[in-house]
Amino acid sequence: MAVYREDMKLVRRLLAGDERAFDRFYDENSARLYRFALVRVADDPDGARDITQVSLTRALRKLHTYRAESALFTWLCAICRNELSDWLSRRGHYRKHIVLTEDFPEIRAAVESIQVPDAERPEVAYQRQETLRLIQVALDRLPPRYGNVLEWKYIEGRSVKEIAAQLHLGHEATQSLLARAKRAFAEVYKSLMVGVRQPVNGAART
Amino acid sequence: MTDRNESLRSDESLERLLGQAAPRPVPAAHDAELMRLAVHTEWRSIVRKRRTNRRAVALALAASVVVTLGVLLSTLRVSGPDRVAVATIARSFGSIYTLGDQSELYVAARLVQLRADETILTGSDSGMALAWLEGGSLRIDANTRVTFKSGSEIELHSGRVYFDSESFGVDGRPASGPLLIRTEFGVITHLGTRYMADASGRSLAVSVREGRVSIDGTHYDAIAGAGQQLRLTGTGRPVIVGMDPYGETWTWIERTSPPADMDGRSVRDFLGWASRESGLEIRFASAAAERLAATSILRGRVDIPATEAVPIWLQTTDLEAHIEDGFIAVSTSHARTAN
Repeated sequence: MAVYREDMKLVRRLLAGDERAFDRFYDENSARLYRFALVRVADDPDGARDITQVSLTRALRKLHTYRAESALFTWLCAICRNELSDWLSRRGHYRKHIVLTEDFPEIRAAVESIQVPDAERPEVAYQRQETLRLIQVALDRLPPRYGNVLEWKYIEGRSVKEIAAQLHLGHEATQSLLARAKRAFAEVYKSLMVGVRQPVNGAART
Repeated sequence: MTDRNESLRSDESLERLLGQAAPRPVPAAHDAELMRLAVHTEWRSIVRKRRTNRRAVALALAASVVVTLGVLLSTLRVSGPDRVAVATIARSFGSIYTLGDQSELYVAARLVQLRADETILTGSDSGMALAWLEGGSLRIDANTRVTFKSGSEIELHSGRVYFDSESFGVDGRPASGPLLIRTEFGVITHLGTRYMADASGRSLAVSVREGRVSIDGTHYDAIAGAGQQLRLTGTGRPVIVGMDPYGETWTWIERTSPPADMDGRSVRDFLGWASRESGLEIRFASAAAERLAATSILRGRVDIPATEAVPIWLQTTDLEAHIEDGFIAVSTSHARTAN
């Protein structure tokens, strides 16, 4: 079983009251968790915000129970799922039929196993809408730094120089980071696309 | 399919694929700010509780009898007083929320009174003035989270508050006793004073306009007097520096100033209020100006910040005022015309 040492270190620092650890924890996870919630509450930003806040708060209260057996973000997503379920049932929403591709355990496991992978073969052969959504999902499943540099470079169109300045890195190091991020993205995206082709138990997103 | 995989494998294809996507959605800036504040405050509270628990365990090993008594006492405290009213809202603007048991936010648009154990959270565009039921005026700045523990105690989790224990005749009455402000860094107590507690960073800064303030710190105790600012950071020793009772740091207090009823009050009273709100000293240019201020009576209600109100309101009298560095200069209109 994989042990997420970096995440465990971060959790220990959080429990010790390290402010920088909090900044990192919050900056790396809050927006991703918000998007995780947003797509599951039919793009209701207020609902997603409330769920994210309650999930993060609940996670912090249970932080001492984190065992690093899954990535910290995955652990947060599990807490968020419970909050989503409560939130939806409180509002009488009936969304049991909505199953997101990335919610399949097999895909989650595959995504979690990604560290800094070699390039493999992702597929791009699905409906445009789902493709675009999955790009965002994949970016969120990458280590935060990878997701950010890819978004800045290829979606927002920032230059390598600007990204280097933002990250306080040299030009070469930034290019190297971008290359690693692209490889990791390809791997995660491929995992998600496999899920689209082969939904588990016949479930599909509506 | 294989061709597609091959092409996607290349950097160029990946870049094209990424280029199709929109930026990932993020919460609105204002929401994000509030959310971070709420989560951060909760985290600090959790860390504090953990530290307290650790100390309790250490004590238990040393003297289990003492701990048993402590538990009994804390149980009594928890099940103690009901939610009594502690303050009324004299003014509020912007986004203000109360915090639910699960840290969920509720819009507090129609709130008129605050009760013990209630937690208020202010957004980046907001502020509040509270008439404290035990006396005095408590102001709450933007981006602040505060819990009202009882009629004589609040807990400042983050952000800034200002307490004026003698703000009588305008938005309350003089405080009948000290208001304790509990923070992560220590407990602030005072007697008859005006001061600001700022826990918005990773430290506590207590700035005193008038009177004296004592801090029973987690690691060190300290006392600060008028014109001083006391800073506490983590386990470091307290640092005391000189500080003007007016200026940029204090201007938010004027913004939260509740409407002041000046009907039938003298210009001198009005200037006294403005001085208290702004921290600026009043200087009369002549004895005649001072006499005129004591005898000129005003009508109406001031509902703008003090430093803006002074020149405007004095236009209805034979006095005029201008603000200089640290004071409000008041002269007769005649004197200025003659000059």
